[in-house]
Amino acid sequence: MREAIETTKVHSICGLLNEEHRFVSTRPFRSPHHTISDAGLLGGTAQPAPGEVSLAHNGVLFLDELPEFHRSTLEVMRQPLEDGRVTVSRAAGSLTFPCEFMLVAAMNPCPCGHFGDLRRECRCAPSQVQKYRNRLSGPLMDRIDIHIEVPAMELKDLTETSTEEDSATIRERVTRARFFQLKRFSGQSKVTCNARMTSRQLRKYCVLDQESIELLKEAVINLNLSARAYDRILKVARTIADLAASSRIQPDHLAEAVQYRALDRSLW
Amino acid sequence: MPSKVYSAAVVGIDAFEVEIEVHAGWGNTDKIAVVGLPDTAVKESKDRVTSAICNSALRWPSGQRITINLAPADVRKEGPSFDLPIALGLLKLEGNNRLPDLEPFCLTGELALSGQLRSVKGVLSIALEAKRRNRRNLIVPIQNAEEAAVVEGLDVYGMHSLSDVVRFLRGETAFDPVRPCNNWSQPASLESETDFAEVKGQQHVKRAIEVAACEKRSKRLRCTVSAAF
Repeated sequence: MREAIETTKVHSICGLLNEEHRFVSTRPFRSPHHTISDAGLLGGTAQPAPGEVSLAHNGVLFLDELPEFHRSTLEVMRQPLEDGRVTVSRAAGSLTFPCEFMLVAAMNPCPCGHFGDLRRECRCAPSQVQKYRNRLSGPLMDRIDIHIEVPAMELKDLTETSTEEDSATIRERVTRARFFQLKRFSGQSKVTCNARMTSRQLRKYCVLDQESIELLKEAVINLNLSARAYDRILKVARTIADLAASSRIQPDHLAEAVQYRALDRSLW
Repeated sequence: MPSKVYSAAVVGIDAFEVEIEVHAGWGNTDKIAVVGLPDTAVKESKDRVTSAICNSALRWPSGQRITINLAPADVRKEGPSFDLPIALGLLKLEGNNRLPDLEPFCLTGELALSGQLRSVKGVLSIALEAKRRNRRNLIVPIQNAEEAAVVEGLDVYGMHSLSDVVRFLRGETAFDPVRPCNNWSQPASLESETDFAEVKGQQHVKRAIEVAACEKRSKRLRCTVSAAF
């Protein structure tokens, strides 16, 4: 309820409410085009107004074709991602807007799009691939918790009629995991999910057994992970344990979390 | 004796209360002055208000030099949302309009030349501010009523026109406060057109999305080798 009111406030100021949507009761989903300017994403023209990050408050900000965004536009998102709010200073005054959003982004592995594809050859020179990926900075990638590669589908997979899990089943599991988190943080203001844990809470709720500690040590050394990545892995592992309805983080939960982190190390 | 009406202005995502004082005095020329750092939309408000009052068959206050002050005077006021409170401030000056004390009311709304009310932005923030300031009633354009009604402990009235507002304030016509619609707290619909069951393969991607969904704020990069979704 508190979240819904906050999100509605932002949308109301921008005049985005209409006949059908008098109140924002579902999480917003914003997907701005990659030609967006700094001010459009972060907020503020001459008169400070909320930008896309604030419109996605309590929802999802989806950036398709991530490397095509202006470099400076992506870099301005760093502090908002950490703080959950953005302060826009303009001649007319300095204002703070909330922006606790989940960033989801998609990109191609290289300019031609076939790098790493088993069936089609990549036409890009290594320097081109390098240049393409360098458009994303290390600090920004470090703030992204889960990286996955989506390979091209095999033809036989497309034609086969296997039954897949439907959304309702997945939703049930997610809701249960969310419930565990709510219970864990009940009575503690502000924090409602694992991703927002403070370092003290991290030490309290993410206790590892000996085997997991060894595994994590190994991962940090081999993948050359930062301190921020270390904390994030623990948080993701906690979530995976919640999904499995496990009160302690098991080594396989941790291994899955490390694996979500591994991609950027191999590519960048 | 100047009249006083309360409204609110939005700065950032929060609103602050604005006190609108209207004074009618005498002078050599007819003039309406709007002071208190108004932007162009607020300055133009006097022209809309003049027509709206005229077309609502209400009495214009006697006096030639009218001063409208938006306090606090050091913060910039934007937008047309002060039309309605300014109009009532003017009407209040004229005893024949028989308006009561407006202390417990917070008002906001843009006026059309015909006296109809038009919707404004930021009404939810205004409603929260009105409640904080202990104004028990909030009068807004009908289009914004449902949005403001979410705030508990505040009677929100949605109005169609200036003459509606005046009749309501005089007690000639009874209006019921708008109740928040019940279905807002339910997610609009869990059924969507797409379903994970329709996505072939890519198990690891679906799994990662599931983990991310649990965390509310974790983030994901996916390297699409081909359009997978």
